[in-house]
Amino acid sequence: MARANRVIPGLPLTLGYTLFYLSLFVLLPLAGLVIKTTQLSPREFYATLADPVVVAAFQLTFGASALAAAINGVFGLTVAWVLVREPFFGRRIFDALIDFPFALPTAVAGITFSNLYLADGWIGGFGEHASAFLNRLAGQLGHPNPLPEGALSWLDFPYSNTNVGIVIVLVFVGLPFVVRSLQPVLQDWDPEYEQAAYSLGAGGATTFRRVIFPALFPAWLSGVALSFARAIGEYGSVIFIASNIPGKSQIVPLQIVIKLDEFEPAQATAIGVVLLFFSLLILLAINGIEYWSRHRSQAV
Amino acid sequence: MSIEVRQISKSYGSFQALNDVSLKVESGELVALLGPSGSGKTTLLRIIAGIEAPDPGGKILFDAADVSATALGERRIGFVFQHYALFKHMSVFENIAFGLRSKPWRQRPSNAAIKAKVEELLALVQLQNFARRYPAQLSGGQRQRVALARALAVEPQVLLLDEPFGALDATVRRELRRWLRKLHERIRVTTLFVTHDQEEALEVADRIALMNLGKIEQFGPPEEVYERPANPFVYGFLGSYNLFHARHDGAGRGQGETPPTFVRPHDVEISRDNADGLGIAAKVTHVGFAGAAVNVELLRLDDQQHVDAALTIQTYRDLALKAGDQVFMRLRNPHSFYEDYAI
Repeated sequence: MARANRVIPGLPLTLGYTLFYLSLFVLLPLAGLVIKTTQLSPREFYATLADPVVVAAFQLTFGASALAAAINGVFGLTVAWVLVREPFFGRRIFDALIDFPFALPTAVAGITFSNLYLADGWIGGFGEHASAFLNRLAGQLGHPNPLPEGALSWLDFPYSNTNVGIVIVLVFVGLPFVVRSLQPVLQDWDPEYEQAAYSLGAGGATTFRRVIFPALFPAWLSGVALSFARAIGEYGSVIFIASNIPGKSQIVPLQIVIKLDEFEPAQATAIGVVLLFFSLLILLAINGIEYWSRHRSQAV
Repeated sequence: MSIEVRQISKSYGSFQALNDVSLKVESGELVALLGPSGSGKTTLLRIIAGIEAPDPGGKILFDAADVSATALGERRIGFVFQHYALFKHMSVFENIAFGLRSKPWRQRPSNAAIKAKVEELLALVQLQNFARRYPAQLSGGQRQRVALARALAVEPQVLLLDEPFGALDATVRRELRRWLRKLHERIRVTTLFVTHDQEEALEVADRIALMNLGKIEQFGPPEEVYERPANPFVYGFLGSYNLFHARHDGAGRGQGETPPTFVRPHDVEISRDNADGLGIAAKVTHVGFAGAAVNVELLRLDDQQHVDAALTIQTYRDLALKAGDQVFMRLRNPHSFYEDYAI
């Protein structure tokens, strides 16, 4: 086996290159992060992380990311299904638009969403804008200001200035991951499986639950995981829409920035290491589940 | 349960897949839908199943009941797909149990009843030891039988098979064919299967519906379609043949108006002598050995036409034929079609 025929020419060279690149761009920085953290004593390390503001930030980041990933899991699947299976006018345009969150600079996404959803935004302050418009219209017709202040406030988006905005932004940035993971699998999916299930008397829900979803599951899960991982690291778009109140609406990446601003780089890296640890743990778990389910369906 | 198809048409855009097809299959029959690809046989099967909807106007009846508007899941059919469509993430057991587990909970059998039913079906398809395997671990023939067992689990009134042996190799095909025939004799469910293999249809089916260009050309028992083909297409589809134009008739009289004559290669008789004077002189141009039969290519000396003959190996030995020999041939069992004889 020592000189087995290799398909890729110069494999030792390419292998060496690959390992070098991985080391240079992935392993080395990660090691640096960990080493930097060791500047803190264990007690300082613990104190940094036990700070209620930091704990709250972790809760918010993981909570909002999980919620956004779950929402994307449901709607991303629907979107992917429709884009692959239902021919409709303009499908290609919608398909191309799915990549938009990939391409859009996160700061632009953040500004866009805060313009829409914050209290004075088009959706966030819809009632106010609407009543102002109607009052002006009525004024021109000779009945000035029929609507009192706040009469249409029930039309305002009720969650502006809450952390719901964060979830909305995270859904936006994570959607393409789920859709793009599912599309190739759905394109290869033979409708005969559904027809077989129907012919055996199964209804739509049973067919989806027992036949379609299990086949999509590995791809779906990796899409959701990627969406989740992206959400954890998302910074640029979130800080625009979050109110960034310490202990309430600060995300973990913002905590890192704050620690750096306070000239506490070691504390910043401590938070970074924990974030890294959790991210790796989640990715590992999801890969495990994915491996298990693939292995089961294509057994030996 | 009998199946009646009444004036079914189906078009995809400008392509007419089925053109006013009517067919009645009696209860308990095993019928083959035979035809070349594109003849509409699979479309007809899928319409009977309810997977596809026919163009408005036609009707599908099971016994006397009109099921044209009944959904696929409620027609109580068992459908076996050409590529089986087994659920890959389920074991053989779960695949077969799928139909039973999918019933509304009031009608759903207990786990013990499901287990008993699945085991009975596994025995029927001779796969008792494979219950825990996954489809990826089975051979093509085994998958085919799992697909059949899965379809039978819901006790269908009608069994529909799309090219059931299409994806299998020759030996397995022949074995499964015979097995299907026996299975049908045991369970007596009205069965329709699609095939493009005339040998398969002739061997397995009670009756054959021979289809071409979206129409049924002939519907009858294998012997009838073979011995008394309705038209040149049926004759041609069921086996190879020689075509003799009238002016080259055996007797040699020029009659331009009479239709051409069809003769099967095995109906071309070859002899060394011409005692009765009716033999046609020909030269052997090639001898091809094909196992049980020997294919002999002849060249008629009178009009230089090529003729194929198939001899039994015994006749071939008795005649000791080789290329270049001059012989006499006689045509047995000639067929002529008086209208529309163009193929």
